[in-house]
Amino acid sequence: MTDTGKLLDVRDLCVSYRTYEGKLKVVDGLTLEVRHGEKVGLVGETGCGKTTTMRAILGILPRPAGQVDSGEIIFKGNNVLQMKQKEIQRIRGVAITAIFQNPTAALNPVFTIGQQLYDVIRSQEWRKSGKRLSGKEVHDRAVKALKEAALHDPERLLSNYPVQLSGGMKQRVCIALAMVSDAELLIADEPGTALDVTIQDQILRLSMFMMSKRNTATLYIEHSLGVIREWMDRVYVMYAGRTVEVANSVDIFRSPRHPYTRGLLEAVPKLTGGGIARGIMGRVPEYIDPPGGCRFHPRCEYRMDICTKEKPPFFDLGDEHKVACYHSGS
Amino acid sequence: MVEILRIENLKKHFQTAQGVVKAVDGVNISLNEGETLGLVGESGSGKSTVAYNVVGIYGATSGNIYFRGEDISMGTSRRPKSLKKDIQIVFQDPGTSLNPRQYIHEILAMPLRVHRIVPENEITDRVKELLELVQLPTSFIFKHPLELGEGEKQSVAVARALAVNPSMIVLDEPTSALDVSMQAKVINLMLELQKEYGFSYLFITHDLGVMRNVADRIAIMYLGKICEVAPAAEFFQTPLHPYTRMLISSVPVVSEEEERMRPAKVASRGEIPSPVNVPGGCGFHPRCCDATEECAGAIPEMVEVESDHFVYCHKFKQER
Repeated sequence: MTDTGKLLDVRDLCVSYRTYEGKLKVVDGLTLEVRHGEKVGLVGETGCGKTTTMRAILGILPRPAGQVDSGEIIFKGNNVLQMKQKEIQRIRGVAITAIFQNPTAALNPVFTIGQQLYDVIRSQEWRKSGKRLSGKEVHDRAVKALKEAALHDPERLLSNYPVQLSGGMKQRVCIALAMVSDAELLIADEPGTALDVTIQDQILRLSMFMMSKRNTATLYIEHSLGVIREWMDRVYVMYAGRTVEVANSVDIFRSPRHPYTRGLLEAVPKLTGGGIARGIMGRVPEYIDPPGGCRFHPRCEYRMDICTKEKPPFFDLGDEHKVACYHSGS
Repeated sequence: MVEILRIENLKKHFQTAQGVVKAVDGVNISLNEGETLGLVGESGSGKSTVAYNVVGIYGATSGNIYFRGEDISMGTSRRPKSLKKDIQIVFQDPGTSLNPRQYIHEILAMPLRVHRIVPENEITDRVKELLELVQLPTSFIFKHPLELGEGEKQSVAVARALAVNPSMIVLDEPTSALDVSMQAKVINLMLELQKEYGFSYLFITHDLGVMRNVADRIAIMYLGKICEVAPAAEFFQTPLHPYTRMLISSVPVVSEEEERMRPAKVASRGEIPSPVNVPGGCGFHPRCCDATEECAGAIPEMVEVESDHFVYCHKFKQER
């Protein structure tokens, strides 16, 4: 990685959903960056706003309920939030692609794998260079993409429907779909969660291999800390719509600083045994009326007065390790 | 140690349009009083089918299940009521196993009424006791499942299993729908309850980290058959079956100690085949890196490598 420029820069992002109960501030002042060719993990529990962040970046928030209230999402120097639909379409699916959690939901059940792959290849080429590909060219590219995703017998696969494939194969097809465009940024939303460990391992190895080959950067959303540790360069830990800690993937597991990160790590059942820690007391707050100050303070054992009043800034611990906590930061 | 459950050559086959699915095909395991037996395997390995046979949701195609010496391989409809009470189950997803239209009170009162555990006028008191037992506030009795968090719902499901004072509880992936911190709570709760009341657990999960911390002994399943049975510590320190090694080496871990104890990376390859069309011989041979001709031809027999450590693999036959 010689190029350390920022590819994606999310600054103070606030996203909310309007519901009958009121406005839910699901993402509240999130800041993160992904550099060229870097593998960045975003980790947090269910309901902490991981998927909302992904949707905001891709501009696919559910409308009209979801909206970006403030902040900037800068991709290669341009603010995605201020782009027109046309401009976004030139980026989304071409320069930024995505793999979703559930491959069964990501593929359309009434079209064959071939039809779906052809569509994506044609439309990407059209948006990228304005060129129309011949049927033969599209077919060749599709076969090549499936082969690269380690799928056997791609010719036959093209005429198969998604239901005819296993979960692991479907996810491979999704990877092939995401990779045909040679994107610069791949956003993955827990691609291994719905799969068994051996299949998850295969999927991870495949996607990481393909990404390093193309020097694709990735924002990898995961709830499994183990996956993050083994495959990512840098990690953002997210809690209740905010990033609470960021560090490289060695430091964060060796010396986690935020009380939430520590609680989360302790709660992971270890292969070495020795029992499981109690877990963090309480539960993730409701977004309708989130706690003031640090959103973690009601569950934190190191709570101080200031934590209930003011949102903690990021304290720099050196070596790119930053923590948003008054207790462990200062 | 007193044996509470013994499964002998259990088979459960399903007739489908594509052919016969041998979901469970000759399983032998036993469970002692107060012990936790872990059953691991990938999806489609038949672990849940074993659980459903034990509880009696299915009747066995052939083979026997003995509960304290009594044969219970028939489905629940032909089981004596006292036996149904003795074996309870907690399902994977509390969102679907709890009736969304019932109050928590009704959910917990039902088993008390059916099995006449306490007289009608003491039911509310007992329901409150059950909630306290699983560390939930008693104010929950007039809430619906939808109002609770995932971990709380699963705790209610545990309380429902406890309501009839069972001696054995089948836990079918009880924490796989939960986040790690919720999972930690539910598991610690289960372990405390076991210590206090001496339940025997048949614990099914695909999460090996969880398994290491809850099980006394672990059995691993692949395509309806057992591959290896061993005490938990040994299972992780000296895994023998190639499938066990592949599975353990695929687990992403969070610390360096774990990395050191994990067996050298066995690159996982292939997928679990369709149960309609099971490979001959050892079911694992197409994915196995040590497979020989023998593996494709003959079904491996059980080998006791050390006391209490059994493996079904041709590789270990000669060493006997």
